[in-house]
Amino acid sequence: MTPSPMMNQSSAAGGKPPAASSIGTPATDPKTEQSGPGFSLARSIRLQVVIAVIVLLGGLLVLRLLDMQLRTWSEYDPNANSIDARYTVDDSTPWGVIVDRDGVLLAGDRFTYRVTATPKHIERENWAALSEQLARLAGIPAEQVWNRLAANPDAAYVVLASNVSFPMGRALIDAKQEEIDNADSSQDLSLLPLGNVFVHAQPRRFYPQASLASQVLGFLNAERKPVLGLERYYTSFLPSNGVGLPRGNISPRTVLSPQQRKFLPSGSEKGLVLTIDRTIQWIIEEELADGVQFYGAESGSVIVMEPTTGAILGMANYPTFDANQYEDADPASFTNSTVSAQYEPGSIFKVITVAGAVDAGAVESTTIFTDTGTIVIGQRTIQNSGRNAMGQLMVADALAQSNNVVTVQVAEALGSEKFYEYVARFGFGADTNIDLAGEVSGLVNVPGSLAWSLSDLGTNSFGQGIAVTPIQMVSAVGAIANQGKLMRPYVVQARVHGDSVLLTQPTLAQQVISPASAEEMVEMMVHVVETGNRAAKVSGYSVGGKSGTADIATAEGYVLDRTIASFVGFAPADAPRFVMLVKLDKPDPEISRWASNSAGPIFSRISKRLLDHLNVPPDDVRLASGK
Amino acid sequence: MLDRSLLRNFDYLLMVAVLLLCAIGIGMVYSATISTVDLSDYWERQLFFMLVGLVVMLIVAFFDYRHLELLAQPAYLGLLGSLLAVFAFGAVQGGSQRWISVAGTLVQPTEAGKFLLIIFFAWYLSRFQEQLQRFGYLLVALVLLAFPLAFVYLQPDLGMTITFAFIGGILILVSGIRLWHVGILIGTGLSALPFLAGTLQGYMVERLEIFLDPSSNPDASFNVSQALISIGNGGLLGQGWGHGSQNQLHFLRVRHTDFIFSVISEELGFVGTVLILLLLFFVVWRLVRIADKAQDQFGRLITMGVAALIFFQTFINVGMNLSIVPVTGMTLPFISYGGSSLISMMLAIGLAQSVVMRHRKMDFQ
Repeated sequence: MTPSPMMNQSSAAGGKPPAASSIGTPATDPKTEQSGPGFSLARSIRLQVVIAVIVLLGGLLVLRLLDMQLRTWSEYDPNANSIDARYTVDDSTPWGVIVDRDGVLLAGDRFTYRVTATPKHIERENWAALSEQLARLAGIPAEQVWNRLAANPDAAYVVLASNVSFPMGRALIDAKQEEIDNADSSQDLSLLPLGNVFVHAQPRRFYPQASLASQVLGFLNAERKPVLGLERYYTSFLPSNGVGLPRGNISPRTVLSPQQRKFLPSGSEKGLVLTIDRTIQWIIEEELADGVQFYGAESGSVIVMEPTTGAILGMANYPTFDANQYEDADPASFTNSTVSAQYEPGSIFKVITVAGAVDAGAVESTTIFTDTGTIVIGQRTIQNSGRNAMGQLMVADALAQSNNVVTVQVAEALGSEKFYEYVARFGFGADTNIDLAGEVSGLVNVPGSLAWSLSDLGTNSFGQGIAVTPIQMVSAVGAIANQGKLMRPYVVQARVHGDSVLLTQPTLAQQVISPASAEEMVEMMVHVVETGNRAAKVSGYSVGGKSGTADIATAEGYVLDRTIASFVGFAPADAPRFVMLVKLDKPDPEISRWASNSAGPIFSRISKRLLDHLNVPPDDVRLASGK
Repeated sequence: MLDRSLLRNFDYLLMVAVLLLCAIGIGMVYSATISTVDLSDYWERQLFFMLVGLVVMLIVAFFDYRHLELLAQPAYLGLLGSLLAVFAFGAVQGGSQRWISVAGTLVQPTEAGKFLLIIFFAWYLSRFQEQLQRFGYLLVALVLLAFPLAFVYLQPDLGMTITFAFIGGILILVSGIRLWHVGILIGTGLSALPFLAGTLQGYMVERLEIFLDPSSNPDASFNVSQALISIGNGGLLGQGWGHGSQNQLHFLRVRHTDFIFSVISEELGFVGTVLILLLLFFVVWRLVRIADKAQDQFGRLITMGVAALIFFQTFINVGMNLSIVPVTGMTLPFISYGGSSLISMMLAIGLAQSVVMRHRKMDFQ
């Protein structure tokens, strides 16, 4: 074998070049095995070490398997461990309170007490007296105390009772304090009757408004782990030992009104002040529940948002649940569908198509198109929902009549590149970044992706073949009502940590369309309610909106006769105080075939009550007095 | 060449154990993938890979391993070259450059690199066996090991770096260097750790953090938790083949490759897993035994390298399933789905067979 250049180099690096004889010596030469100093012995010892290490590490794996598979296995054996034993350890970290915009308590901790003792320091002859004393002070059955002491007489820790009520716990603490105060200073405190009994505060999450806004709030489960909603989203902030406020514009407590501060403890504790208005939340939950039942729908959602800020005033889904008894509820109802469920929006999406086309200058509200009843785009034939043809009509009327054929022509006039640009600018296909857990981003196939073809431009223009979330839809229409400014929706208006408050600043996501285009869209949407969706009118107020009856896409295609009926709108039209989405899933077609006659009227009813609640005078009064 | 005496020394027990493991692997891949439409033919492919692997093993066994000495230096240069090629032309996948494209197929040079490393170090350590007593030669060995380690570490691929270091370390340890040299090496290595810690890549730190505190990132530790649930589900006798709910309901991801051990645990239980572990350790023991018998230092070190490789992959893969080591993408030898992994493992066994078939010098004089 010839030494390569590399080997010469490495030999040199090794200090001394190897002796000529050793270069020529093949490794297999028997001489080597004899002459290697202590080689054979050293090798075999090392081999044994290697084998020992292998056996050791292999044993480690088997031990771990034993622990995981057989010990866990025995835990499932009902005789091995009682249920209680596995759930006694819970997290006793207090979590901050959550209040609505007026300071009404929505979520907070209620304290009960756990009473424990150190049996090994309690003489057996004192058991009877102690049991009797605890029964009198804290209402713990004397028998229970006796039994638990007797079960573990030598233990350092035993739980005597785990759910002692607040007043009883306080009484016990006071009695213990009194004993200490009365004892003279030389006395060993652990010899007092209650010296070896301890009282620990134990928080329990409580939702005083029961099912109100339950999907927005989420909840803490029995192990105090957050499930969904705000509790999940603010999971690193809300626990008292969690992170503090992020850097930012910290204000003193006094920026909050005294009413808002009512349930917010001072000191180091945490709290969230929501943008949700309890009254609005109550109104929409009531109207939604009535609407779902009246129209024979499976479920439904309503969102009310302030268009100028993005603040969510109310957010409801039906069916709902009571977080205080979440164990009895259907887990499907825990999901906040307004952010976590996507659907094909149907005709309400025409508003987005027209808004894009108006802003790009492709059409005006008065541009005239011809509806021949059908239009072919990308080898797909599209018809109107009523299978009719309306001849020549203006864009504004086409929107009011929810004409598919004209909408496709509007989208063609805009062009697919621009169309998807506006769809993205309105926030579809991306998270809105609302501060709630579990948001999904919908699905928009864009030109260039494999799933897209030209016919999609046609179907997308009237909201089929595209998936959005209710929060995206309401934010997008909010932008139209807010001079083209898309605001990031949010639910928490202030985070409180002791005496510091971080107010949420409304965030402009994007100027989607120009203020002038937005104004034209508002006028068109008012026209829609005046001439098309008349059932959505609110007497005394001018409102804008659009209905949509969407086919439901499943893996097998569209479901016959089962639709999602929705209505999105705002009021009052000249200076919108709120934008609202009403959505009904699978209303009974026997009762109402079209959203304009189901979601529309619900919008109208809720709007009337909201305008009253928000103290907005009717248009003639308000506009006559110069706004 | 094809002497009957060669066959006499062929390690049939080793081959039977390996084929048994492969068969179990095919069965488990079947169970793990049959309910997934896109993967439902994977067990057939695995069967095909096993047959190819068997042929490769037999061919390599009858090939005289001593010829490999000639390949040692090109192997090292090839290893360095391919690692450099990854830097120059490598495809970036998931934030690290580990793959190069050969005729449109992505190959990972570090897979073959393990063998190149074993062959080169077996050659170097046997060639300079006597001189290894001197610290200088040992130092050269370490420098030669350091180059590929550095390249792999920079890719970045922490798992493969540790594999390379482990194989290199074992070979140096058993090659007969002085004990106090071993002490110096271990000492230096340990004292260098804090400095290396500063160079850990973001993803490495993240995985370590998830390992140390799974609750810090429940989304990322999802699969580890699912693996633990699967294993706990198994109990003594398991849920039965094809009946593991974690597996069949797809809670467990990468269940046919890196996490197949969890599938085995769930479906075959403690008894099944221990049986498979015993088989794997039996294979390692047979290899160590071959190393002990080998007629020359080169063959001994090659076999030790193969044993170290199989042992290390088994330990790390099972350990990761059991959550006692952090997650690194390492397959379970002979069992995890994958053509290159299975065939290269069979090739390794072929090398060991080649050594044991020629362990009696008399047969070749």
